[in-house]
Amino acid sequence: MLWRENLIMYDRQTDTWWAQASGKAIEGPLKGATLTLVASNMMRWRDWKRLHPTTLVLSKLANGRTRGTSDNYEGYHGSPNIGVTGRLGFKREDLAAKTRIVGFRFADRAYAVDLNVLTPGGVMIPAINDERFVVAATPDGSAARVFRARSHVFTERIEGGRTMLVDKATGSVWNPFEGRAASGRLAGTTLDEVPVTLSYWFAWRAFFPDVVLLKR
Amino acid sequence: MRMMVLTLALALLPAAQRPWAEVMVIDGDPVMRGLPKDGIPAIDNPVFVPIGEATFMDDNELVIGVSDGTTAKAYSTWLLNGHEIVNDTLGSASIAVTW
Repeated sequence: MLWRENLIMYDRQTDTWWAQASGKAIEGPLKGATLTLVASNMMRWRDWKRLHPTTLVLSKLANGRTRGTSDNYEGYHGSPNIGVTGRLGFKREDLAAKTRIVGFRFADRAYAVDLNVLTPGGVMIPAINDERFVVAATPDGSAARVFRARSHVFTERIEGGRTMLVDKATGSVWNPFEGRAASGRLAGTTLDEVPVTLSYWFAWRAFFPDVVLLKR
Repeated sequence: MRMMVLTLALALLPAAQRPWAEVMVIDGDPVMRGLPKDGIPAIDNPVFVPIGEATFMDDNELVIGVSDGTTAKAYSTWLLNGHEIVNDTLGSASIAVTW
């Protein structure tokens, strides 16, 4: 089932209905409860396996057949349709409904970064309240990871065609997409990652109407 | 049996072409049903392979990735289009990977 054009799941123990995008129980015995979001992200397979060379991958082989050999929503991605049931109103005009965004949540608020604003392999360092974040695009710009900058003050520097982050206080140079200091006093240190959802703008906004669109 | 065949046929249709029915309204928005319960079957006993055996993967396909620092797992969204949910574990935690 869909609600706000997003998956509703049920659990077999209580038959409570859970909205995927928010993780909230919207109907049934556990109504009002929220699932815990696990550190996760979304990106192309080529980028994921570079980050995690020892990753396991869910097998597509079942009963001797390979399934999922193409994206059967290809037509939908290319269409102007907003959702599949035709029942979702979309009134916000600041960004086209099917703009691809990377969404995340912090301190009870949802945020979004337009992937078109990030250059391929590029970085954005937005501030939310008094916290700074690092939004780092994949080399082709189709996805991004988000990290908490904590106390680090970063400046961008292009090295060998790649955007790196310099942290003057510790004399460290960070690879933003890896979220890791490549050299300097903090070499090998990693930033804390924020779970992200790759989504269409309308879909993220349907669940978080007061979502903040982060600008450069 | 006829119902099963119909369900199967509907599950194969792109979602936009399914006949959606309003079930109820929650917080002002309709809950829409396009298939009977379990019409899109979750994966309950996921099988994983290392990169070297993953010849079924396309470099360009979007994956959902999870990692606890020890184990990393990737789930193809192209496969999840037909399942939506994987009931799995990561370390000692039970997780649901959803799409």
